[in-house]
Amino acid sequence: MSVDHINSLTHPYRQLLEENKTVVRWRLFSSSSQESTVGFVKKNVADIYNPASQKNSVGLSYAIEFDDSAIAYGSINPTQANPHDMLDLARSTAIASEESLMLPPTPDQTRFPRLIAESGYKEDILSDLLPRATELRELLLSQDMKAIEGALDANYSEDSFHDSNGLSLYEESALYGAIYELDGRLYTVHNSRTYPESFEAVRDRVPQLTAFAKALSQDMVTPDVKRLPVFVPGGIAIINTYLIEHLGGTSVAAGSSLYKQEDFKNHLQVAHDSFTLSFDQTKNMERSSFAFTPEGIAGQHYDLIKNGRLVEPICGLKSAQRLGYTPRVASSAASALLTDLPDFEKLRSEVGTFLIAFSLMGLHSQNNMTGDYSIPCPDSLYFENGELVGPVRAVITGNFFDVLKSGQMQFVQSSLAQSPVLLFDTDVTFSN
Amino acid sequence: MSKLLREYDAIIQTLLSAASSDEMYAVMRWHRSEQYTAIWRNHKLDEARTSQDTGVGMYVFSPKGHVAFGSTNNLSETSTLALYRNLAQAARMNEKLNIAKADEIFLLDPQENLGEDAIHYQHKPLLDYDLAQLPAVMKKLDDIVTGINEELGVDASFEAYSDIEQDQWRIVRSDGTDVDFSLPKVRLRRATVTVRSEHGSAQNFQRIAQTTTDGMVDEVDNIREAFVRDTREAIDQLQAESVISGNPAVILNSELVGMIAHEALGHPAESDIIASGSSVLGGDDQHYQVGLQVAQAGINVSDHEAGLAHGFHPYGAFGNARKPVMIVKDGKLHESISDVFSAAAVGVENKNCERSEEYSSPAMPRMSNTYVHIDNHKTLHEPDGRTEAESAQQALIDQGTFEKHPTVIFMRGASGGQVNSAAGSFMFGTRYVYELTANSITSKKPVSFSGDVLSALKSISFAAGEVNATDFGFCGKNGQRADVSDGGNAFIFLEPNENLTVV
Repeated sequence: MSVDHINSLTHPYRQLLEENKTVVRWRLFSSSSQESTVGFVKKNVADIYNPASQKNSVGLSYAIEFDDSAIAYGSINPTQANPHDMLDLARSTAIASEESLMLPPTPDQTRFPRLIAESGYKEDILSDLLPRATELRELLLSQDMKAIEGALDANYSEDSFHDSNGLSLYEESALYGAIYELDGRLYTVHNSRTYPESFEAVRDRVPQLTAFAKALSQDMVTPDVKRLPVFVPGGIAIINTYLIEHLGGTSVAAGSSLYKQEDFKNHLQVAHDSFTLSFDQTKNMERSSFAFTPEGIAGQHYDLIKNGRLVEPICGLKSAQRLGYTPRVASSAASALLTDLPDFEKLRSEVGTFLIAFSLMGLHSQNNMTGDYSIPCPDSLYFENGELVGPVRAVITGNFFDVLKSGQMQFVQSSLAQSPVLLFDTDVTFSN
Repeated sequence: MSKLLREYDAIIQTLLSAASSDEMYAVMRWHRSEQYTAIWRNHKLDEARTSQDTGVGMYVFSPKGHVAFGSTNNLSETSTLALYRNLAQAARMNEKLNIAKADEIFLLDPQENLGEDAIHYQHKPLLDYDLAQLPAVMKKLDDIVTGINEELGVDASFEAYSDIEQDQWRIVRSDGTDVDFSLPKVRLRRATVTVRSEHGSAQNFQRIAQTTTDGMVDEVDNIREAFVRDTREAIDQLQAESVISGNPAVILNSELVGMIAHEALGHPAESDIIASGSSVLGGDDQHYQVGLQVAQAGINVSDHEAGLAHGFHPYGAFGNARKPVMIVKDGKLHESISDVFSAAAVGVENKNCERSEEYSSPAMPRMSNTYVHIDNHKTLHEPDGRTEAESAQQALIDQGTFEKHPTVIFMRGASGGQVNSAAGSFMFGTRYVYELTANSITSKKPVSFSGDVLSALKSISFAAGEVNATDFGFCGKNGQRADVSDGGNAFIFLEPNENLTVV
C-alpha cells in the first residue's frame, strides 16, 4: 500500500465530482485497512470463536452538495461501485439544507504525528501473533485461573482525504492491541503504536492481576462501613459518561446535552478548580493521536475543561458552523494529558482502608443528566489498614457531579492499567 | 441453489475449486448491506446518510479441522483468492503448532435451501422504499413535544434517528450447501425527549421496529399516547423522590422481564460461554445443567420465533437451519443456545444458533427473540384508559398481594444493563419507577435493579397478562452488534429476596 495506491482508488471519483456541473462542494475520505487477530481461551489458542483471522477492507465515504443546496452523505465500497453509482445514489438521497456543506480548515501537515514505526508494518504479522498468543495463554494457565479469554491484534490503515477546496491529506498508521480477561471478573488491555509493546505490557501485569483474580474468588466479606475511598481501574469511563458525553457540539446545538450553549460562553463551573482536562492529539506514536478524521479535521492540542470550567463544546464541522467554534475531535478522558500522577501502590498504602472496584455494572444505564449513580461493583476487594480483607459485593452510590466538584477525586497512575485509575470517596452498600 | 448474490457465482466456484484441490474445506458468507439513516434535530431532517457494502467472510478448515477466518470487501478474484491462500496457510500453521481444532464442522449435514417462500426473500432495493416516511414519522413525534411545551410551559427538546436496513446473505460450503436469505428492518432507532426545569434534566425515549415503512407509520400512531404519557412522566420525575434502598417486593413490566431473560439467563445459556467455564448455568464438568430447577414450575423461557421478528434469521451462520430453543421448560433448564462447535462439549443438542452480523464477524452462538412465558398467568382487566402503573396496581389488588406486601415497587422500561455470566449477576437501569399501595401510585426517581438471576427466577410468584413481544434491541456480545427481541408477560411479580436489590 502507498499514497499512490489509495489516491488511485479515489481518483476517478474525484475526477467525476470536479467535472460534474451540478456538484458545488464535496469531501471524500477513503480508507484501506488490514486487521489481524489471534484469540485464545483456557482450552486453546485460535479456536473457532477466537480464530486466527485477517480482515481486509476498503471504504469510501462522501459528502456532496449539489447546486440546489441539497446535501448527501454516504459510504460505498469502491471496489463494488463506480463513480457514477456514487453520484446517482447521492443525488437520490440528498436532502435540502439551509447551510452549505462545511469543508475543514487547511491543517499544517508538517505537524501531523507519526503513527507507525519507521520499520513499517509486517504484512504477515498473523504468523507472529500466533506464538505470542500461545505464550501469553501458557503464562496465564500457569496461574491456575478458572477461565481465561484474550486476544492479540494488529491493525494497519491508510487513509486519504480530498475536498473541493483542493485539500489533499494522507496518513498511514498502525495500532497493536492486547487484552485478556480472568475468570470473567477482571480484564486488562493495552494499545500501542509499536510492536510488541502491547503484548509485553499485559504480560508484565500477569502476576499482580492473577493474584487479584484469585482474591476475588475467596469467601465474601461484609464490611461494616458506609463510606469509603474507592480505586476504580476502569474509572475513566465514569468521566466519559458523566462529563465528556455532554460536551458534544451536536447535542449542545440540538438541546439534548445537559449543557446549553450559554454554559460554554459563561464557562460554567462543572468541577473543582483543580480539575483540568487537556488533550494533545498531535504527539508522535501516541495511541490516541491521529492526523485527520473522515471530515478532514486534524488532530489538535486543546483544553476541554480548564480549572473546573467548561471551555468549549467539541464540534464537528456542522456544529462548529452552527455554534461558532473551531472544529475539533473528542477524545476519551483516557488520553487526557495528566502529569505527575500519584502512584497506585504508594497511594493505596497511604489510604489504608479502601475498595478496589474492578467492574462497574451498567455504567451506561446510569442517569448522567442528574449525575446520580448507583453502580453494582460485584468484583471488588476490600482492604483495611493496607491489608486485603477479602472480596465484597458492593454497590456504590452518590452524585458524580458532586464528586467532580468536591476536589477529592484523583487520577492515579498504575502499572496495572494503561489508563489512569480513578480514586474518590463514595457511599457504599455491601451485601452477601 | 441460492437466488441472491448470484453475481459472485464465478468467484465462488474458483474458491471452492481451490479449496478442493488443496483438500481444504471452506465456508463462505457473502453479505450485502444497504442502510439509510435519517436524523431529526432542531425540528427538521438534519441529515440523511446512506451506506452500501458487500463482502465475504471465509472460514478455511484443514483436513484435520484446524481453522482460520478472514474477510474482505474487495471481491475481485485476485483479492478473494489471495485471502483464501493466506487463510489456508494459517490453518496449516495451526495444525503444525497443534493448536485448536474445530473439526465439528464436518458433522454438519449439507443443508437444503429453504428459501422458496416470502419469509426468506424480502429484498427490496433501498431506493424503492419511500424514504420520506422516516422524517414524516419523526416530525409527528416532534410536534407532540412542541404541543407539550406549549401546554405545560416546559422546555423539552426532541431528537430522533430512524433507519432502513436491508441485508442479503448467501452462505456457501464445500459440501454443496448454498443457502440465502434477505432481512428488512425499518426502525425508529431512538426518539429522545430531553426535559428541563429548575429541578434538573431528564430524558425518555421511544423505539419502533418494523419491516416496512408503512408498518412504522401505523405503529407511530399506536405509540402516540405512550409517548405523551412518558414525556409528562419524565417531567414529573424531575421532582420525584428516591426509593428507599433495599430488597422490596417488585413488579416488572414486560420490557424489563425480557431484558432479564436475555441478559441474565440467555447469555449464560449460550454453549460457547458454558464451554469456556464462564456460565453460572454450567456445572463443574462444564455441561449445561439440564433438568436443574431454576424457577417455579410453569415458568418457561424460549428463544426463536418464526416470521420476521427483529432477531429472526432462518439459518445459523454456518448455513444450517436454526432450530427453536426452550431454555427453561416448566421451571427447569432444558436446552442451550448452541452451535455445532460447543454443543457436544456442554452435553446438549446442536441447534445451529450461531450468528454473524457482518461478513467480517466471526460466528458464535447467540439469541434471536427471547421471551418469558408463564403458565396459568392471570388475565388483565381491559385497560379502559388505565396507565401501565394502574394496570399493575389492579393486578396486585386482584391477586391480594397488598395484604402481604402493603408497598410494592413497580419498575417500567429498561435503560440498559449488564450481566456477569460467570457469577450469574445482573444490573439493570430502569426508566420509570412507582411505589404502589392498594390505593396510591407515587412516581419515584429511576433506580438500579441488581441481583443474581437464579434468585430472580425463583422469586417469581405470579404473572399477569399475555406475552408482549414488541420490544427490540441490539445485543453487543463480543463487540458484535446483533438485532434481537425480548419480552414476557405484561407483568411479573417477584417476592422480596435479599439477593435482589433496588438502589
